[in-house]
Amino acid sequence: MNNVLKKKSRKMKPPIDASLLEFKFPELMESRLSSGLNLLIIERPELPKVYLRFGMNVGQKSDPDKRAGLSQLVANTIKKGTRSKSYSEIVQTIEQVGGELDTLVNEDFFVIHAEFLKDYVKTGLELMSDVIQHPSFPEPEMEKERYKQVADLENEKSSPDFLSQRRIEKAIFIPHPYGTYKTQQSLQEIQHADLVHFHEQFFGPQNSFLVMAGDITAGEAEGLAGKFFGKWSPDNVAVREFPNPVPLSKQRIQLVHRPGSEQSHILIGNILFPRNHPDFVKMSLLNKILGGGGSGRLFMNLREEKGYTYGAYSSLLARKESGAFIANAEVRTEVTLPAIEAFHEEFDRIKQEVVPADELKNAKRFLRGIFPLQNETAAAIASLALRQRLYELGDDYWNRYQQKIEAVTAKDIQKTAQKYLPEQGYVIVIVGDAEKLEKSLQALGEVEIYDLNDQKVN
Amino acid sequence: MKRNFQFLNTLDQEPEEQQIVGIQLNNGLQVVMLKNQRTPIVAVDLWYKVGSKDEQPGKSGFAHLFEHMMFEGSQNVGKAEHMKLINDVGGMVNGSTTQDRTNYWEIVPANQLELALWLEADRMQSLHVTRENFDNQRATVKEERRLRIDNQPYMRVLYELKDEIAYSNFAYKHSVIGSMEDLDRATLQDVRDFHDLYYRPNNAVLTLVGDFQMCHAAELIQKYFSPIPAGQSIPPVNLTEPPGKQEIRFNYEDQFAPFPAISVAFKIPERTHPDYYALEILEKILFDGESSRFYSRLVEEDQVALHVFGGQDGKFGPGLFFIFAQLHPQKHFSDLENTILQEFEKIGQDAISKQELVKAQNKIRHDFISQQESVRSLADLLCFYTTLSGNPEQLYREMSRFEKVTVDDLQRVARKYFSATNRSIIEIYPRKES
Repeated sequence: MNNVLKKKSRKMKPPIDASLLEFKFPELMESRLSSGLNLLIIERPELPKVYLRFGMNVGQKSDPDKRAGLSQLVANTIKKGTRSKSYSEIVQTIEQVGGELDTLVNEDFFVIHAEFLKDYVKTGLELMSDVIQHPSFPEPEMEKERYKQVADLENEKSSPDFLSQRRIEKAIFIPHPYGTYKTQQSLQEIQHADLVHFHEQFFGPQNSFLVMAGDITAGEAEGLAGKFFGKWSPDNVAVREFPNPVPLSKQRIQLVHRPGSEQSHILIGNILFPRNHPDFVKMSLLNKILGGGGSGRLFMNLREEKGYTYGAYSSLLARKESGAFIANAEVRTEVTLPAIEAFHEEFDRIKQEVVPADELKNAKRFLRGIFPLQNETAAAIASLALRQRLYELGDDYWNRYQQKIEAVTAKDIQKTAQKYLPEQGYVIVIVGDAEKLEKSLQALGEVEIYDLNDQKVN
Repeated sequence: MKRNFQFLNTLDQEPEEQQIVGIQLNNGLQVVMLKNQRTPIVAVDLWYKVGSKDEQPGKSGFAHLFEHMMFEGSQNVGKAEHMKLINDVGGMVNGSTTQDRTNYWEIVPANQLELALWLEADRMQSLHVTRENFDNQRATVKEERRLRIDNQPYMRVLYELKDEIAYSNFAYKHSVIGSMEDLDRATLQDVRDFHDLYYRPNNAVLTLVGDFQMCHAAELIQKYFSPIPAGQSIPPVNLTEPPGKQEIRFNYEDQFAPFPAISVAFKIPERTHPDYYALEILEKILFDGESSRFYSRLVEEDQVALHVFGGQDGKFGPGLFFIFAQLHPQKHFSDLENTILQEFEKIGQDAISKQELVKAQNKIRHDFISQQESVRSLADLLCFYTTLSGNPEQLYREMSRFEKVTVDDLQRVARKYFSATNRSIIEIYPRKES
């Protein structure tokens, strides 16, 4: 593969230290308030700052039928007013002390995160608890947010990343609500009462986690949490059941027509197990070898050998109920077909050939070595701690994580590839100019064409 | 009394944690170190004082294309092997190019510091370039250009036109990524000449932040970097920019933009100018957070914009203070433009409250603490200040400069720069369907 390397006689060997540093995941203190709220505390006093992270087991998947976008609207409106405070009072109080408070909602979880310098943590937590427990969802604010979301649908339509992601998730996940995307119509359906109801139904201390990390002692943290969340009544929160996604039985080729597109955005993917499945670590190693970063096989093949793309990667979509494996590259239009072939070459190779010992060893070293790099800040540790609880990964998961990586064998990787990268189970999504692409893609089979609104047009 | 930072020749004993230590090698390489043992990792950050500002007309995009070549192999390292070696020990690696500088960084487990230093020294000493790799990376950069600019809404304005319209001096007028035609024109000889001139130890700053012993690190740096000969002195680039004489206007039709948008940019002085601090506070007052003047007025109150952002553009030399806003679909372009220009005028005319000033200072203090949370961010800041002023300890002195800014300073600075003759405006419209 590499002419330059072969011809040259190496003069010096790279000075690599063979030993692996042990890294222990920082100690967490865990307790439970009488209301049922779970408290996680991480003491990191090095810098005078505290992270607050409140996570709940409810996400976009819980949007009611025909009202996709409700949870997002709740997230965007929740800090826009409480029983006792207006939006401008809330924002002014946070920002006057240099703090931040934001909400995010994904398919599975609702997270409110905030950061304040130590001196202002009491102010911050008080506001956070008010926003979580007593939001008033003022109607004019809700209308503004609805309007912004409708307009943002237009912005999203101009982004090839969004178009490709939406198409593949719909293809993979439907009938599971992971495949549901908000539309102008679904946003218009939402009533003010829906926001209030969503909050009543799903927000509660049980099944929720409050993480406090940084320059705060366990005593201080428990005191503050008790003061501001102690009286929250322990109602039972609603639980919804969802239909399982169905694994694909044959390859599908879907082309999203984006007129004038300068490149083809390619996504190739299929459905995968939930985040807490025991094969997740094996699959993470496989993913590292195949498409993880600038030394993965996909990058070496599609970029460094062929020069088709700026980058070619694969990744695991972590979801509570059912994840996905997705490979991606953005390539110049005329090499779309050979690029798809190159992806298949690499999928086949990892199934047919046992991974060389060195490559596996290096992938393990990467995943183990990168772990402390990813846990440098209090915010990152808080986020991992929360993830462990919300995804139900099991006690002590992060402390056993490095051992789990070490236990995987080359044979395991091959079996994992054969099991989860089935020959016929892929969806291939291409966002590009259909006028330039449709003919050549027909070499792969039947091509389904979608427009920018994700309507099938052929 | 300001103490000048001293670069030492050697290190005799281990300094204490929290102390910034500088060494200068005989070949001119400046090394800055800061120990931080929170996590067993170390960040290595190497800045070369070369960016797109150093390019000649007809050779735009070269500094960035060259950054790609630095991953294509050197005397003891094969093509793409640099990245692989770092990844294989559990490290991260990347590089980036701006108008002013090019940087390369690694974050590695603490026991792999030597590997990172060895790799950086090898490619500083001896880049190994072939025709094949050069062609391959040129193709890659073209895809990068398409990915980031040509195939995205608004990016042509934000990455390129904003500067093209505002500047008259080529140095900052052209974009970092460069034009497709210029990329095609680049030759292998250009690559070699570029390395010989700019990628010399006397034109670089190396910083280390994290869990390591400074005496040991100093020995490794001597071992790997001191054999690299110094290069000739670097030709200075003229960055001077004449003050604006009249408003500049430009209309741009964007093939992917869903809504019209506006970009307004005012010329401001270089980063070392004393007005920088007031401008930074004005940036916070105008743009930072939901209570900022532009967000609350344009997006929440008047609802003339869907999105807005802006501030200083971060150049070393003469910069721009800009705003970008996307028009609310139910409003007219003139509503948006007039409101924006009014706010810029208002901040120079009407009193700014002490509370607003304190809010901005609090945010700057908060961000200053946040920047110190990661070793890589700290390493980058040390490189930045060393490159800017030769003094990495400036990092710790900046906060007091922000605290000295008064409400009067803010108004004087706002009036000075936010004037009609000093601005350029780009109106962006979606391309009409044919």
